[in-house]
Amino acid sequence: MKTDRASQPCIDVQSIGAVLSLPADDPVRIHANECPRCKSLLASYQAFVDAEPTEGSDLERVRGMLDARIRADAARWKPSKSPVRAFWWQVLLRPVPLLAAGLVVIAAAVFWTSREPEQSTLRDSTPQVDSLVLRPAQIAADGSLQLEWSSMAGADQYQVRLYGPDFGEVFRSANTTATSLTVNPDRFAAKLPPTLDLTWRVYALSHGDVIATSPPGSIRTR
Amino acid sequence: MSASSNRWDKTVPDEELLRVVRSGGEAERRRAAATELVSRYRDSVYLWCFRYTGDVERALDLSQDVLTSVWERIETFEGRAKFSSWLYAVTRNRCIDAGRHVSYLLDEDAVAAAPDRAPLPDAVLYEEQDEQWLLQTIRTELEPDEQQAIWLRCVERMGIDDVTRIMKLENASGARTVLQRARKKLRGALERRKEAG
Repeated sequence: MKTDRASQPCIDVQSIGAVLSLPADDPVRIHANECPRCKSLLASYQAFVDAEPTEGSDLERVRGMLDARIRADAARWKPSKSPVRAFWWQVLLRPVPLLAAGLVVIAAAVFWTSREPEQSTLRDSTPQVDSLVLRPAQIAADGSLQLEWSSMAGADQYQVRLYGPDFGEVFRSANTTATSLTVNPDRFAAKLPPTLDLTWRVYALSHGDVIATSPPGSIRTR
Repeated sequence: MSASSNRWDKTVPDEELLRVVRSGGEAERRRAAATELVSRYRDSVYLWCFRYTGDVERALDLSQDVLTSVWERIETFEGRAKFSSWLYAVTRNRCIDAGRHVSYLLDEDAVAAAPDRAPLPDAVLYEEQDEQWLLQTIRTELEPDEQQAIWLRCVERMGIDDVTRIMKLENASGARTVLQRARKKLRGALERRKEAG
């Protein structure tokens, strides 16, 4: 995305930390200080890093629960046996890749200056949990929701949960060994408007314990 | 770090911890490095989720999801960005996916006053169908302070109090007035576009 105020493109969300360490006269930093969108992103990232407790956050109590989750995740974590390949920049610093990277940057710059100015940045391509993949949800003619997901190694059952627009749970299935489920909105916990956006997730279970959760999926009822 | 206890000093940079995590060395040492790294951002992740949801339990659920997903990907994080930036992006996206839509066009009070079953106003339907036009219009029609307020509120989904604080607004109504002004301009632009066919 480009702005009207400077020739620099807007900052990618994952690059935001590096921008703060640039000198004040760097063109990217100047752009970030002038562009409302980038300025907002920087402020948002700074708030994340500062982590100042806000009223009602109950941080002291929650810390114990988060630490317990971290300990449990750590215990489950199985690091790979061999070293993970070199960081990208270690490879790029070799002469031939460095030259190739330079050419790619030039080509990207030419492309960037010739494209339409605005692209939505509302949804970034941040990776989600992908060991449990949701298929696109379907609405049957009778209004029921048809949900399907991939099987996952180690899981012996699955549970589906649906959440309303306020992220409150409106439906929880019984545990099932199947990898699909049809849900009639009549079974929702609360009477809801006929058309609304729902979020759904699948929980993979092993001997009754949740071992993985899918990324959230979206579906609009009618 | 004390090699015998597998505990890491708080002063060890994130990059060094990541190097150990990816090193292929002793599992317990790597586990300890990863634990230190994730723990460092525990508060950031939770408080960010709380800022979005305003609800302790939902924020706890979301932040636990984020932390668990970090464990699943920590070895494959390549260091293109700072770890904090990457984690921020993961947290932000998770919150945006889970959060409520905040209208670009309708004032907060109007949305709050609408009954649950009220039909969607035309403006909101339009907003859903042509977000690209809206984002472009935000840049061309609004003053910088209005743009920033809209970005912080509608894209970053910050609460009005947070927007007021970040923008250092000192008037009594804080960001509310700036947002109302911005939305009025956007609705005006939408009307003009409709009239022009």
